[in-house]
Amino acid sequence: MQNLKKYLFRWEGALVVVLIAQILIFGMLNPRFLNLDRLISSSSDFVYLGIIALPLAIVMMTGGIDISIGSMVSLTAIVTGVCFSNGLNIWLAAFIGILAALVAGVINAALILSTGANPMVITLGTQFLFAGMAIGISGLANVSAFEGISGMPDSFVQISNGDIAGIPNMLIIFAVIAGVFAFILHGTTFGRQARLLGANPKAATYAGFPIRRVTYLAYGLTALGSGITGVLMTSYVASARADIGAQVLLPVLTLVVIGGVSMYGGEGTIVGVVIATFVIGYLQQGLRFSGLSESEVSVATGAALVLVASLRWWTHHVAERIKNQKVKKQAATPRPQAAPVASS
Amino acid sequence: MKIASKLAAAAAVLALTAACSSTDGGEAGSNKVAFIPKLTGVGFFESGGAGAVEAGKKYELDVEYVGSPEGSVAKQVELINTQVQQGVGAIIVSSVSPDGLCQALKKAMDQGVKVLTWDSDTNPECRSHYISQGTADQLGSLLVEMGAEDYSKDEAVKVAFHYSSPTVTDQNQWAEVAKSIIGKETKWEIVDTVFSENQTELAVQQAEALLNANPDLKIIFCPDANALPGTAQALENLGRKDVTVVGFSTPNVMAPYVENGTIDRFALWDVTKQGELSVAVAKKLLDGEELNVGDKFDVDGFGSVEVSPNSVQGYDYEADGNGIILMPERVVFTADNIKDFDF
Repeated sequence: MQNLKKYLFRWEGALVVVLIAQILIFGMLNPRFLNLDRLISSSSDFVYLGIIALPLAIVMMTGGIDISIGSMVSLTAIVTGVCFSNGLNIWLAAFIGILAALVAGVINAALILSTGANPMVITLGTQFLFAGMAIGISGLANVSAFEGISGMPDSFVQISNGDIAGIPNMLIIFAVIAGVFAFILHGTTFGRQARLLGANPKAATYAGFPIRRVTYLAYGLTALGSGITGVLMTSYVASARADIGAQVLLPVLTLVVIGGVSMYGGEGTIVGVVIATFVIGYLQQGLRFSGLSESEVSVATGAALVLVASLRWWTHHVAERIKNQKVKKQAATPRPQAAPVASS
Repeated sequence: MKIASKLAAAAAVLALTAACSSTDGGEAGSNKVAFIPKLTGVGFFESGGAGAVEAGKKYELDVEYVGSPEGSVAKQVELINTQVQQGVGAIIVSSVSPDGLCQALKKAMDQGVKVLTWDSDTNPECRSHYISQGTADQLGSLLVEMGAEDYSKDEAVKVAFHYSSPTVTDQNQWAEVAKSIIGKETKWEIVDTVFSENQTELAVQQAEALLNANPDLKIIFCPDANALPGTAQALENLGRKDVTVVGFSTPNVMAPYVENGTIDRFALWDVTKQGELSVAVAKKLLDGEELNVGDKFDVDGFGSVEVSPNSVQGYDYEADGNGIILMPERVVFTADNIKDFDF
């Protein structure tokens, strides 16, 4: 445990170093990049991805995954829009939109638990289901889908576009949500159980963990994150669209993996995902500022993802080998008492 | 502990460097222009971009063609914000949504950036001028007329529509106009409308499925640069010669289908010139001209160009220094003239 913790701290430390280094390098390439006001205000362009990445990190720590996040974002957006266009107060409409996402999350968890199928398969299916529902609802409400639903009051549009003392609202919301999720993962029984369930599902079962409850909560929280993001994005582009979440999935998965969450469950922290949000956000921005085209930015981001994934495997692999060699050496030299084997 | 000290160091470095650089985005007098397509990698937009970049040299503007291959609202907003922060003087954008970009564009205008649209418009209050390829009425009726060359309007034939997506502004407007003309002036029956989301493979599949589901279909309208070649390919795959396919696409892409007789005619405006005209208008605005409705000015290669009111596109909003500039002409391509164009 002690070893693991140290290792994780090092990972997040490395991310911070990368973040600072890239900001400085991009600043040298294009001085306009390095403007504190600009750096802060432009974070609105990407922190909404982090709001889904945080709870998705918890799902992935349990060993699961949720492919349907983008569709839940779209579903929330369109339910909010349709309720609003039918005369409901916008805040009530947004609340109902988030509720719709929560129902979707519960459906995900229920299907995963009742079928025992791989969460990737289940949520891949519900991805199409929820996206189809979003388009269907916009059709039923007789909204011409290509225009989206607009005309929301300024107070609503300002949630994502406004700022308090120069700090964009979106960034403040992200900070609050990150705090909440850090507490949930690191300070509650649910958080511990979620991680241990991912580390060793069999042991968790035999230890009598409430696996159903943990699963419902993890997928429910991810749905909540998607719902909140759906509302924020609707506010950000000041219109509710059935396809707003279509491009969300892969960037969010990238954040979670770069944040140090293991695809196999059991490992990861909220701090890592928060830092990764800024690392990737500013990486893409910086590349654009250096004159790269959008496709080249995608290539660079993909390369970073592959590099990180292999780096994590590689460091783990080397650490393991060194440990093994140590144990072998100890075993080779005769001693009064036996060497402790694999203490952790 | 370690992490805290690292963070503190980071903050210090950031504060220091930020203090050194105090330039603000979007200052007046910048000759940088961002020319933004709906999405990149499509011949149509690439040609528009090439025309704009080329025109930049002529008007001494630093025109950059920047876009994203995925064409989503959030991505376009991000792109616009990034360009404004980099200090462009003007943005010329083909919008993926009529109102989704408004917040970002209004923010840009507040900072003194000139905002124009081309190809696909936003709401008129979110830009100053729209460089239009023609009104929805012009293009919608052009679609119907091209179809009517093969099948008389009095014949009761089945027709269908195939374009990119139910969420795209311009193509839906043309399709709606065409559908209303078909409803009022012809005996044609619209049996289906399918979408292929700008994906080449999907365009062929959708068209094949459409033809298989409606074997007696006579005309397919494809007002999309990707759906048209896809549908033509589907006709070839299925060996159908009795179906008329018309629509909008680029001559280079469609040349093989016209040469082997799969399709007889299709239309488009000269998108390279649309890019050029957009930059010419941006230049006027950057030079401080306001360009009100009714103003006429000469553009090299276009002759006299007039600013039309937003009402030609069906908008209610009118304001000073706000209007629509229509491309003078649209071209119907046939086997006779297709070799004269290269884009």
